[in-house]
Amino acid sequence: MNRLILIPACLSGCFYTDPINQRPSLDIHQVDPGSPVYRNTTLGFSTIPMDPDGDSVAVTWRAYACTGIDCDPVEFDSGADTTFTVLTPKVRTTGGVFDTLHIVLEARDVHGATAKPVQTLDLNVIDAPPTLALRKEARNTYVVGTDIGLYAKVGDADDGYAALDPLTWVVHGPPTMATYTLTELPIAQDSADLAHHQFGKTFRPAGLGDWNIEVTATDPSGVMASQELPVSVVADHPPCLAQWDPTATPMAGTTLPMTDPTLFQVLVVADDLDPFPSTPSTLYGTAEFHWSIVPPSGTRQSLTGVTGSGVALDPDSYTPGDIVELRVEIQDRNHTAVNCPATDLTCSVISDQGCLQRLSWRVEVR
Amino acid sequence: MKALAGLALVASCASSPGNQVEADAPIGMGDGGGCDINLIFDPAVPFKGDHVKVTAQAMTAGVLAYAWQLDGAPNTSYEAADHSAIGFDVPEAVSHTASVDITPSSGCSHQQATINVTTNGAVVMYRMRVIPPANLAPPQESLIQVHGGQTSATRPFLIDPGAIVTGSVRSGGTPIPAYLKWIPLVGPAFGLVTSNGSFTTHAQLQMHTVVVIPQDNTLAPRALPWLPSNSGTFTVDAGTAATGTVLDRSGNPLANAQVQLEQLGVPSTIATTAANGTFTVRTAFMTNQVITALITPPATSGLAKLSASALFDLAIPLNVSFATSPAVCDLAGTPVKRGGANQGLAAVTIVGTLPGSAGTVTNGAMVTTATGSVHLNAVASAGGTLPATLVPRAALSAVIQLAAQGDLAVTTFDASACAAQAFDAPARMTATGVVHGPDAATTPLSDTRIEATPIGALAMANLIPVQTTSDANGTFSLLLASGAHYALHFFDPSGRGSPRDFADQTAAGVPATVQLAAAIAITGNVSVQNDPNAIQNASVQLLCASCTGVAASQPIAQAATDITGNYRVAVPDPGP
Repeated sequence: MNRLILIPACLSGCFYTDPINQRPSLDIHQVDPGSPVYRNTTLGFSTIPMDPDGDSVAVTWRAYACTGIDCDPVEFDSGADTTFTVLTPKVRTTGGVFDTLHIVLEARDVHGATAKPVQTLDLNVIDAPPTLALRKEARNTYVVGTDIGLYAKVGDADDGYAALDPLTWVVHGPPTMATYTLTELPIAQDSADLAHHQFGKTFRPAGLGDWNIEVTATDPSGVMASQELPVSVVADHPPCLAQWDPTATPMAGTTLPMTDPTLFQVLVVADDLDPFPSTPSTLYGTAEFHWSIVPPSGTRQSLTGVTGSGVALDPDSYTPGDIVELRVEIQDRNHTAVNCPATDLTCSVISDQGCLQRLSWRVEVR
Repeated sequence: MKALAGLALVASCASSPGNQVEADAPIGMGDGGGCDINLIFDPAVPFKGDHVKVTAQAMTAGVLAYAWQLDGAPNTSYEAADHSAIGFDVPEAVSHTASVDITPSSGCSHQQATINVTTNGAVVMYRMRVIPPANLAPPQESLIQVHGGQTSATRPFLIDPGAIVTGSVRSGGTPIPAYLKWIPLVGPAFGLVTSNGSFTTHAQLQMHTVVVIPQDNTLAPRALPWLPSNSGTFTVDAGTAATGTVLDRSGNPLANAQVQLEQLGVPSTIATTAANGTFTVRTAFMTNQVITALITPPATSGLAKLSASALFDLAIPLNVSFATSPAVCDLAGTPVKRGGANQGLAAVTIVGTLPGSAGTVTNGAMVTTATGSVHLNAVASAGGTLPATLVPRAALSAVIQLAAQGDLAVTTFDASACAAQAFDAPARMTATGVVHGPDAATTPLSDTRIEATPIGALAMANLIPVQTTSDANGTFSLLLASGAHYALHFFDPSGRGSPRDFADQTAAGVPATVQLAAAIAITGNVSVQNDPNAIQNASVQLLCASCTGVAASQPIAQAATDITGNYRVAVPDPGP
């Protein structure tokens, strides 16, 4: 760029003047995160240097830990880019705690001109409270008397989770003052997340109603974080036969012709505790099946060795025209009695007649 | 093995985000309705180590913008100048899901599809049967391939909701109780029972054969075609009378024999022979199709059941004659023992198959040989000896059931010479063993299921299985009938190992250590076309693709969809 400026003289000729190099200017912008600022956290800053002459500008960042206006003599971090990211220290370089983060930003153009005044930014640094997140095992319902996994994930940005006091777990029961147990539940840690630690408890409520589990984390400075985890505990629901094959005969007097060997099977049992097929989970068990058969002209016999979901019958084992009744009843771990009269082909032990615990096939051998 | 270059899998017409179409192209997967984006994978069946190109074909005019994601992450590895295709390497045998958002759109802007990368391993086919809740759709089935060497594969299943059929079964205009078996051209059959003649069901939009079996034994069962355009009214009548006679081995009329005919799964009515040996059944059969005649003699006759199949002309009487040989033998007085002590009230089932011809069925000039099988029941006296029990003089088996159901024993005997017999019924034998997982032979598996299904003589008496579950130490215990043979099936409902079968075992032969092989986890989502709701409690079964009989309906693995419509089952890894 040509910096020569020709100025016509008024009286005796012309003279030249050297170009005037102007200072750059800039500001500090804190980009992440906003206030308050905690120790041992990452902060981001940026600047957009401007030079009226269009010169390139070099910037220098310095970050100091200070107590009030007493700062460390040496910066704990520095940078030379338009963006500056610092990890705030836990303590001063001299070892003491600090309460102020002092950021200094200098700029100099290629001609040596510096920005005036030097830009500074003081940020108040406070003690970060612990972080706490709670979770309970995901289920459709939480059934009284069953184990419920509770999980707490804790961290502390400046003190670290290891410095925290042991978590306190307080269980607030429903008005019935039901009893409960709360025991340790070992869980694996996330190796990709070294900043947090997880704790587990097994909670077994003995009463119905709304429970509340309050968990508190406390750091060495006494700063606390509390979270609550509501758990609505309900009564056990009997299992329901949801799918079966072949079609059953719920009406007295009707029969199902059997012309070929046939597998009579329960395909799906819906239950809050013990569904079938059982899911690959430690949360649930599997439904129990109780089979019985009434052979032609015979009386009901329990099939004691049969505990699975299906029984096959072969028409060749019978005479055409024979009537065989095959029955299955289901129970979950609480063994709610299927107490309808034995003559009932189906049975529901609850008011929802669509939820059956008994199913019968009246088979006519063909 | 090379990838199938040049072939392409088309995943078409997802009507909403999240709709998935699987790579191995199951039968029944298809149009999701109303969308105009196709995702085309090349190769259609990629193998580990291949490079896969996926192209979006949008049936939309104008210049389009494509935003791709692969396995949930943005992907810009474009392989077309207009960004309508991306490419990626598949170094591992896992599933990959590609999705694309296209703007501007016409109707729908999103399409997603999953492709399964396979190894060069062996391939096994399964029938995947999905039975949704009855109010949503009929049962459906597709064929899936599973390639060996994988650890998992994705198999979403899109259900055709079909049509709701409301109809009735009538005779002479009157609704009648009946059983209806709906057999689609493609897919599993299903049945329903109507007690008043009326019914409502879901059926796939394809041709069905509906076998109608009236409860009234004077009406002929009938197979009727049904098309989606048809009404649901099925009419049955008395059909055509088919007559004949049954003669015993001495040529005398045999009274009280049960006679039934059957053609292509459609039975006749059941007839009982009169004192002069005559019978009349009602049929609604097709002409020029094989008919099977089944004759069950009265239990006290000592005769075998006869079965004969031929192109019988039912306009001509069917005359059934039992062969003169074998003669019969009376087992009266035969003791039924356990540990040397007679067992009162023991139930004995005599079973067996006669060699050679057991009789004939004469239909005009045509004489058809009948096979014979024995299935006779007797109950020992309080003193533990059989009453008068006539059986054919042949090598037979006795299935003995003592007081408790399931307390069974099987013994063979030869009645050919009609020598005195003594049936010994040893106590059941306890077979124990330990189930191990595939990863570490030393790690026992708890909660695995073990099923022992009778085969051979015991199966001829009944098919009631013996089932148990391994305990916390992986130990199982099966109480099996002495002398009986079983097919053993070990499976882990949690999918930690693949099912394992042992074809023919006695109690003494049950393996003491069973290690389940590596499993391939098959996962997916079950959805109904044009229904955004998750399908919970749909039954998902993987079945043998080539089996027949009961084995065809025995699930190799099964699961139910969860609240999000997802399922997970484990099947054997067919290996490299």
